Amino acid sequence: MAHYADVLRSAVSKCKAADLESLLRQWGYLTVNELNQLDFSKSKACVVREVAKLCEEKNRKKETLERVNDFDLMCTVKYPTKRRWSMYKLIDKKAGTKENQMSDPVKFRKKLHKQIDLYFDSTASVSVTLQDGALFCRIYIQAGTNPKFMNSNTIYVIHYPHCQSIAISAFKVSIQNFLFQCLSNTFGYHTMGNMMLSGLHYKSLFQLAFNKIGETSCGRLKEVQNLPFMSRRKRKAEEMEREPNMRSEDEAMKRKRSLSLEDAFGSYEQPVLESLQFKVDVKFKGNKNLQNVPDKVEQFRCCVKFEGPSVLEGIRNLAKCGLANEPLPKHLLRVNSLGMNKFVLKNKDKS
Amino acid sequence: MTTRQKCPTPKNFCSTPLTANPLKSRLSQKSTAKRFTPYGKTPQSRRIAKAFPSTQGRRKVVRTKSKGLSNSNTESEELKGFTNKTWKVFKLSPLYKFSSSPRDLKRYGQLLSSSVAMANQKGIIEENNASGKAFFCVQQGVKKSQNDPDAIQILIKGRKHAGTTDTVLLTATLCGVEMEENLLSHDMENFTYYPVLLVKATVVLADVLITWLQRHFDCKVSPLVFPPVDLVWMIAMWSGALADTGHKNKPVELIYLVPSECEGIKKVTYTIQAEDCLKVWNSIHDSKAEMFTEEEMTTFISCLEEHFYCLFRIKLDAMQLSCVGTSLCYIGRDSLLKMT
Repeated sequence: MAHYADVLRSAVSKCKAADLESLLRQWGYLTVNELNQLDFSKSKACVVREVAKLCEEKNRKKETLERVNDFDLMCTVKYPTKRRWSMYKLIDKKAGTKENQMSDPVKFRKKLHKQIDLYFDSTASVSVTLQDGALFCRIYIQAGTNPKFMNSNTIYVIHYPHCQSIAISAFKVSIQNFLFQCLSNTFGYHTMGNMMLSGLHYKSLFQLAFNKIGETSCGRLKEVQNLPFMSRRKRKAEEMEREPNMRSEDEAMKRKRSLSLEDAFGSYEQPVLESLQFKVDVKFKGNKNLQNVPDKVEQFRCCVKFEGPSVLEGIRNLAKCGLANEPLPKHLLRVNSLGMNKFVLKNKDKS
Repeated sequence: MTTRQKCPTPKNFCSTPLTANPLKSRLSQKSTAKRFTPYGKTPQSRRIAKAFPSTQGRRKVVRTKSKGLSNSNTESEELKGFTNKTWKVFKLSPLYKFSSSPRDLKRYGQLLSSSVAMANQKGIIEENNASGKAFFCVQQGVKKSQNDPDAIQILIKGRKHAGTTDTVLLTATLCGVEMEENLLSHDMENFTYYPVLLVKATVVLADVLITWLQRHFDCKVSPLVFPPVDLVWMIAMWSGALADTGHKNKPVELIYLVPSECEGIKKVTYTIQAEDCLKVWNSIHDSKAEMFTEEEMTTFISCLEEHFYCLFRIKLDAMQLSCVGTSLCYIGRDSLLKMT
């Protein structure tokens, strides 16, 4: 059936060709003989076609479909940064939820599948796996009556047990309500809310979400304990090279700056965010150079976006290089604990 | 007929970084002076042109555009081919013995086709466009004033390896619009000067075209890089350009590149609503005055950066402006141009 080939093709599209063989071995659905038959020196597309043919020959339609879906999930787990994840908060815990179910993939799968069947067609399929302490789920919901496999119908969900947030990949807006209801019931909560936090690196996203939810009244946690989210590496100490002939004029200032940065950002590496966006609607503040202060320019709407491999580290580096003056404004410093990467800055209402 | 134009001595000229850019957007302006650049405004259309101070005998030529709002619809039809496409901009030194007569253009087409076929055979071009044919024709509607040479459009049609019909693989336009002066001097009778070449094609095909042009007309083609100063002029001039006409304005976008010592952030995008931008500009520049001065321009950009500094305490003026977008066009520093 062409169905297997489509799923396999989309699964393999994000993988590196070199890893394909090890992934197939890890999958374990093809026998050793069959694996030896495959020629891995050919292109990915050729290998996928052969695998699809082998799957069809097995003639066990339902089981094969399940195993192929599992393979897709395995590939996603191996390459999570190829997808964009959005974070959602679970709100209002229901009484009597059994937390231990969350750590067992088989039981969780049954529960999730039951919920999905309630809200969606019974043709939906669910796969669950456990990796690095997190539950990875793949949900495929058929759209309408079209039996063709569409990549956009696949939703991936990541959840750390006992954590109040989940990461979901892109999904269609039309199914949002049902999906949310379904997921909140499975996890034992009443509703879900958007956290306005998204990115490619799911571990950092979970760290940021945890920082926000775990904020106590005592203030921001600067030194965080060892959590499964991120390997909390201490930032490399800045080496001040001391050559005998070189003199640095502003050493005192540099030292003071690095101390204040360490105070503000902590000594651990910042979570990885690819973009940070601010929508600003405040009074125009560039009046310093203008001779005739404009009365008409009241509200100045603009949108600022910082992009890069790791924006939070970058902000710290901006201050270190001198491109930004200290003290940095609170909305830049506190991104770590605010748990969002899309902000709206507005004038405080005077009323 | 070969256009006979004058230009200063070749030595000086070839080293001229020309920023002549006949963007057929609806603005054009003229300017002549040295330190501050007066910009004249005509009542119907805002015309923008640039001339920069001549330093060491170098002269940057005016960039002109004309607004075709009130004029014929046919003109805007022809110019539509320029809009909504991303062009790569190149500057050229004068072409030797280039003529725009139909017979010559046909000959050029054949020569270029054979050049493309040869490149194809060498395996440089990946797509199997065995039927790559080049066409040269005079493009109507681009030439504005007497001094302008006839705009030439170059098309290379071919077949991509998967397709069955001929598609246009390369579109290029050699043009100059509302050029102020005859830059070619008396001695250079065989030269034709086109300030700008706009190309839309794959890199490989564009390279083939450029090599062919360089070889046949003994000229030098190089990408036209817009320095940040020019980009700032562009925002200052066009940020509020369409504000009065009731079109929904695209916001004014400035993209700054963060220097590489600062790891982690690659670029900062600063997008401003067009109306607010125009308000600030109007408070700096008296709308009745005919000239845009350099002081006004620097004040404008420093106001915007000051506002940013008050919000984030990040110094934008220490970063490099790399791309600029207004509702009229989007210009990137590495020679990309998109007109709307």
